[in-house]
Amino acid sequence: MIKHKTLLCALALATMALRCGPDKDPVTSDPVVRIPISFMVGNQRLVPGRKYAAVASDSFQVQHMALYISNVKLVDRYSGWFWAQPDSYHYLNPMQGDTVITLNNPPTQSFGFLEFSIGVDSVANSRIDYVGKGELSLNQGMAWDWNTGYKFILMEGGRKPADSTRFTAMAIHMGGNTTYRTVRLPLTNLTTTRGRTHTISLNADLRKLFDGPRTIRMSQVNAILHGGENFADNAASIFTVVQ
Amino acid sequence: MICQLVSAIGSGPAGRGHRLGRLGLRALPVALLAVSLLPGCRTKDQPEGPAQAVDTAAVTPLGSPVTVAMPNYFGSPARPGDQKVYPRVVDLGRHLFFEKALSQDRSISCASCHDPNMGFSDGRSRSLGVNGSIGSRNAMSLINLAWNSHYFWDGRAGTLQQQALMPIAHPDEMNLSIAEAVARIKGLPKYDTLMTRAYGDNKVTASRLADALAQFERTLVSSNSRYDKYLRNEGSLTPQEIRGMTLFFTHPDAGSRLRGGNCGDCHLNGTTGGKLVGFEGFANNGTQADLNSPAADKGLELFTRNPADRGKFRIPNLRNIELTAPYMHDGRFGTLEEVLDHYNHADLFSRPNVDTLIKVGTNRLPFEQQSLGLTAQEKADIIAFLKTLTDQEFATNPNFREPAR
Repeated sequence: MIKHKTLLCALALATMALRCGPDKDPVTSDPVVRIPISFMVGNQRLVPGRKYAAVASDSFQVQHMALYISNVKLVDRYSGWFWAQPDSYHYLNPMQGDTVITLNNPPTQSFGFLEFSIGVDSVANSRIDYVGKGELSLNQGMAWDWNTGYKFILMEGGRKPADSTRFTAMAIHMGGNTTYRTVRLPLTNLTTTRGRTHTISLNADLRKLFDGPRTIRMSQVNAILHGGENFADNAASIFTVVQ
Repeated sequence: MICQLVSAIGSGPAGRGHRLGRLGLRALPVALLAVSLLPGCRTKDQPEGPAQAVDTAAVTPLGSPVTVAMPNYFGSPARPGDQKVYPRVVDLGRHLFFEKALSQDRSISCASCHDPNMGFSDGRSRSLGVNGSIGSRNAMSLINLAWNSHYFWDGRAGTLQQQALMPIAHPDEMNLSIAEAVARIKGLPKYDTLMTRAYGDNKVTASRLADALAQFERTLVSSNSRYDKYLRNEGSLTPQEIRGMTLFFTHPDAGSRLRGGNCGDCHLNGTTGGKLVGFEGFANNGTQADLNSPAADKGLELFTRNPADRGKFRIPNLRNIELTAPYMHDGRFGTLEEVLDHYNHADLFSRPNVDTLIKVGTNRLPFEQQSLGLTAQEKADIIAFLKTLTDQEFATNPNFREPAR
């Protein structure tokens, strides 16, 4: 018995060794694209309770942060053809270490752009039958009700306007179909291959939520609730590809 | 974590292979389970934890599992495996739940403080233990427990199995060491049959007691209230109840004159409970005006040792809330009216360590230093909605009552 098992193990190991690396063997695994996102404020990591600068001498700190990324696509550089990840809803929570999006089995080819949206599209944003799906589960606390839909970005903590001496409460619950934004980022070099896991590292600079294309001062932010188009425009600007 | 792993190992295909031969393999994960039953922290009013008896019998249920029905809008339970229970183990757990021999003087069972006639609470501010001792906290309702990340008001148990034995050993509750509890159950003939039907032999162990109680508790799912039927288009709500529901799930925006009760950011839609990620399902809702006095209940901080968690308690779900008075961690509010008055209180926003979401939730301008500002009608509307969470089917379910002897 033992001898047969050893032989089988050796045979299995040998077969696996022969399979390493990209080749035309049809049993090689599907390509995978991993997208880890680093949540930063400027060049500082996002940690709970730490005080960060926003616009001018405004400051803020974060206790809870969560957001939805959805409808992730890989886009051909020249033709505009894209592959869309099916069922593409990703709940991200950097304070809980939930910061990676995984694309399983995209087609094997070169792609020039990564595209995704911040928030939940208007179809899923109003349907009760989506809410049992893991990423859109109601008990992540990212929904109001079936009329108002999901919170696209949640950020809770404190804020200190430039002319103030102390921190007061800050709660940003941005959502609603008018705050849905789509982002397209150029990729220098992605050619998906069978048997390989590719990595696209993204940086999310949360300072740009305030110091972005729209200037948002801490004196204006007390509670952004269901709405906030300026904040949404800024949110679309925070992501870059780390080369 | 360890309990999850053990449950995954332990709930593999039952009855296959030689059970005796697999005991050796099972011993390690079962020993880990015994160790993991230790509570997460010790303070003066914490239990010592279950005795370290050698726990070698398998926790491998017999028979086929069934899936506990749950509506899709509840989302996944905190531990996906919790949807599966074994009927014979549930039956054993139900007997144990009502078993008064599990208390030192044989006067109380789990059901004494978690009474199915009162939404699995006991109608008291703080619960009564053996020998007349009064505990420090209100008995929590056991409804929809699978949608909690942690158990007890202060979150010190991470699984139902961990939680189940702690009240038995607690001196202010049932005051019986786990070793003695195991011995007493061994001595009761009916458990010979129940244990053998559930696990294949009549050995009584702490792990089996914990597993059986946990599985029974996982069947306590309430999802047929009038609110549930409204969500599924099987029934309707009155105009007042719909106003109350809308207020409940709306965070007010004074600037745009959007009225809201500010409840749904913590009592989430679907379950009406808290978030399941990490400790995000815990919050300080400002019940205590002084968190530094010796009498203060520091809540989650007792477990995490993090001062930022001072005064935070588990956000309970509100299913059958009409039946589970009194309310809050120490049962200080006897009526739902008092609860709404608390949230509307002029001083709430300045309570120590009160939650950010409370502080930004005002219906009144100017924004700073305000209070929730609900009108009397709005409070009444919200209470009307809360009463739609009563599930008569659940409240009268014979499967949740004491089994015939």
